[in-house]
Amino acid sequence: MKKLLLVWMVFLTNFSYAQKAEVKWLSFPELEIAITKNPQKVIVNFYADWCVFCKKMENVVYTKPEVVKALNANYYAVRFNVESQDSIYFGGKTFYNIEAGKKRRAYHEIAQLLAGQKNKSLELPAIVILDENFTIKKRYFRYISPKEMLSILKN
Amino acid sequence: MFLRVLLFLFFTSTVFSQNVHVKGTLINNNLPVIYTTLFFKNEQQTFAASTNHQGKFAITMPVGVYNVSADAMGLKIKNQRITIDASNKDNLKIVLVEDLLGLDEIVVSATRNRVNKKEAPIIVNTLGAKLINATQALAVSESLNYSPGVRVENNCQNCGFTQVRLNGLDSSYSQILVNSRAVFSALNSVYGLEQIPTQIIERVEIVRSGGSALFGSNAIAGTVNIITKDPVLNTWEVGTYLGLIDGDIPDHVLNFNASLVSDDLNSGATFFGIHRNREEWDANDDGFTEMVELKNTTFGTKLYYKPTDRSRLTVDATVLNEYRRGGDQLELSPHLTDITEELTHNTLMGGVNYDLSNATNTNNFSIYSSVQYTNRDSYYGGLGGGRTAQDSLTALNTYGTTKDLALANGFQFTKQFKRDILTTGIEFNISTTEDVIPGYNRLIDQNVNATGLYAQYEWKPNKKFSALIGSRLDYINVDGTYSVDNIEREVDLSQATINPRLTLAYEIAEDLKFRGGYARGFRAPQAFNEDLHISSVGGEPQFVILSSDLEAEFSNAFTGSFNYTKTFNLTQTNALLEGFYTTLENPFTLVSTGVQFSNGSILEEVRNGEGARVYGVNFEFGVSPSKKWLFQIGGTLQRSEYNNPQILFEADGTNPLENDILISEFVRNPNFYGYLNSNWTPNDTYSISVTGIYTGNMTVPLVVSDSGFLSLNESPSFFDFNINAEAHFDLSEDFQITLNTGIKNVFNSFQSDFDSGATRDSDYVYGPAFPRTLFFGIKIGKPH
Repeated sequence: MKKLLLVWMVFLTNFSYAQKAEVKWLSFPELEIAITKNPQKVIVNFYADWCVFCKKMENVVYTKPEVVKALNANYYAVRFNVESQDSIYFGGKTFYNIEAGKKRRAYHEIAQLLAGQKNKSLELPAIVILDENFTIKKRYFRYISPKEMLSILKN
Repeated sequence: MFLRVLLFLFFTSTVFSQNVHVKGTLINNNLPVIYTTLFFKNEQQTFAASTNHQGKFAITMPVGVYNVSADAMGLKIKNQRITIDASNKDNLKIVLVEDLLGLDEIVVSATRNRVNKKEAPIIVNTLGAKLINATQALAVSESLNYSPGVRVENNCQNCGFTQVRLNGLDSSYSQILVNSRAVFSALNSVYGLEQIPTQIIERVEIVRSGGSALFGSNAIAGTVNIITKDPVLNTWEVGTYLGLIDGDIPDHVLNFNASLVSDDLNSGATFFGIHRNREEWDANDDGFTEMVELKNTTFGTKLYYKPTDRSRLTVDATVLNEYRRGGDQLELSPHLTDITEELTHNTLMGGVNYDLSNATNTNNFSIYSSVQYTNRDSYYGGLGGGRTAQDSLTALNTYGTTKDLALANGFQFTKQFKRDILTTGIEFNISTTEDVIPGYNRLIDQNVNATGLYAQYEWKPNKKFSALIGSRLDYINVDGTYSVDNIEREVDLSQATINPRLTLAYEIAEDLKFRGGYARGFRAPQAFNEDLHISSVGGEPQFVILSSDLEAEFSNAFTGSFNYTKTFNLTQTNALLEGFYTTLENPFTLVSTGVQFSNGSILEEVRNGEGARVYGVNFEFGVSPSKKWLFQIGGTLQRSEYNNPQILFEADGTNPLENDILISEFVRNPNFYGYLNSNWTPNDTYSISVTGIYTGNMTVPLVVSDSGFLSLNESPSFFDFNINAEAHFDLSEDFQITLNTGIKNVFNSFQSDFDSGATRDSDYVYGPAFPRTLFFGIKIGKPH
């Protein structure tokens, strides 16, 4: 019995130690504070609940230890639901979801701004990479595999 | 003041002293450029502004000289120098100059989520997983009724075979495709629609016109394209369903599916299986089934591999084993009963598909090959009410076997021009059917080789108008021997036909679209699915055979439609009004020639009938005030008339009371039918669906004497009304439960005058597929 208890305890301890490293996701207000204090590259991941490729990225890309490491080391990472109806204060301005209640798929202003495309509806998943000056460097409107993500983050 | 203007992304502007408010517009080709980020750079700083939906921007920054660049999608913009001062700060115009070389900035690929907007010239009605679920359809055939112009009809008490009619034309005028490939053979389209499990279906696309050259030569009524799921996430699901037909006959289904997809999405597989066990049901207590006993086990897989980003190899395989038996005394061996139809199907379906496209995705090649092989053991017969030695001997000899092989191979090339699309291809279809019942000296030995060459050009000269102009050249070779008892018929024919196809679409207003189409169709004389089916009348089988001088049939189909779709804030509405007019020349028509054999069997001949026209209107209205509510109603008003009276029964003259029976309109074809579909989803947990199918009255022939003489009966109308309530619980991210319960055919609107006893006419079946049926279902797993 004692032996069993011991095994159980070991198991428990292991379990708690085995907790995986996770991406430190920031909100836009948190990002603003972070970049004002200490400018760093930024990655913004736009998603929606109905987007299956977004879900796939969440499940298999942002959970890969190498990706988590690269992200946490060199980037501020922001995750944003494009259908969010919160008003967001960022960069001295408040952004709203002005489409809420007017469209079935109501996209937030901040998503339209950073991930909007000319003459096109928003395409998800949308990944926006910005440099230390908060200038857009690259935008992707598709699924990115873990391998590709690593090479993107390293450049 | 509410600023609709968004924008500004910069934190560098700490120097407020010299700042001014700058307003302006970004222009390209005299049009404003919307939702685009502009960058103003000088030696010290960069300012960014984004344009709004009108192409306007506003920014606060110092006056001076800047280098302006923009991040407009799909275009790389040349840098230009601009001076901002007090004179232009309120109305700054920035004109984009495209950099034609730098196109690689934005990467777009097939893994994005597309916006579902149908701009195709052809109207496509889609039945999604939601509707299939709402109607608790166990097989695809059950859900097809919920599209205008489509009616699924049940044809036999003994074997439960169903067929799909499009615009009132029987199933041989339409084509059933799986993932856009024609894999259904002559034999399998009789039962095939009942054999595809709904859980692997992503959606069913129904096109009610033959206006595309890509469809087969016979498919003038349209196509039913079953699109199977393409997995992205790793998922699994196990479900079970229990239906109590008429309150107590169990219909039980157990199914599973699971998908695994690699992290890079370059390979993946889906596995699925279904087992269905339904007991027989006798509606009128005469000891003979109205609904057959059914046992079906299906297992299949679909896998894909992408060797490169621009190519994809798909392999699928399904094995299917089905047993069905109808008649009486199902516990006895078939030859000891009065009537039995017993069918055991072993089917293997498989296919390989390879797609390749060039770097700019303008040239796409697709090569495919699919095969379907069915081995069927059948028993059509029985003592038929008699008990003589001869009856027993005949009954013993009516075991039969069928071998059916279908191969479909093809190559397709699609070239995308700036606006237009060219599609061209070639297909080779081979179908071999051998159906033998030694006891009746019945043989169908048929080889059909068909080669089709097609080209189609989608022409879009401007935003409002588009046209599909195409033609197909079909060469068909039929070599068949058909015999029953002492009658033998041969078909040996090679024929080439050109079948032009045309569809036009014009956007009258932003919300209103007109479409029109023409298709020429052709059918070579051959045994189609329903000719392979044997029913029973007067205790003996009723056979179908091709007449000796059968000629090819031609048809012309015209369609025209108005489609209105409008979204008011959250409210989505659509209305469709579609007219169709089809003429048939020499249509293949079943004519009963009465009793022709010593054992009393009736023979029906496929003959070239009188010319006919089928015309009418399809309509559909849909309103969805929000995500929570959906209402849809649709239907068809039509006539199906022969130009001259068509003979349906040919009297042999021995009975002065029995004359030839002539008809002026198609039988088994209501002039009005429709559906309604509504759904209420108050929250993520609960959902209630109410659906219904209306079938108007129609003329149904019933055999009333031993000679095969018919009575033309008028059927009543039916309203098959269904309710389904569902509850969904997320126990965790990876484990979810869905429970549902409901009633099919709440008002028990069902045929009440089935023919009865050993000598019944088993084809005298019409109306809804199920009597009132209570059902329960549970699904567990990680569906997404």
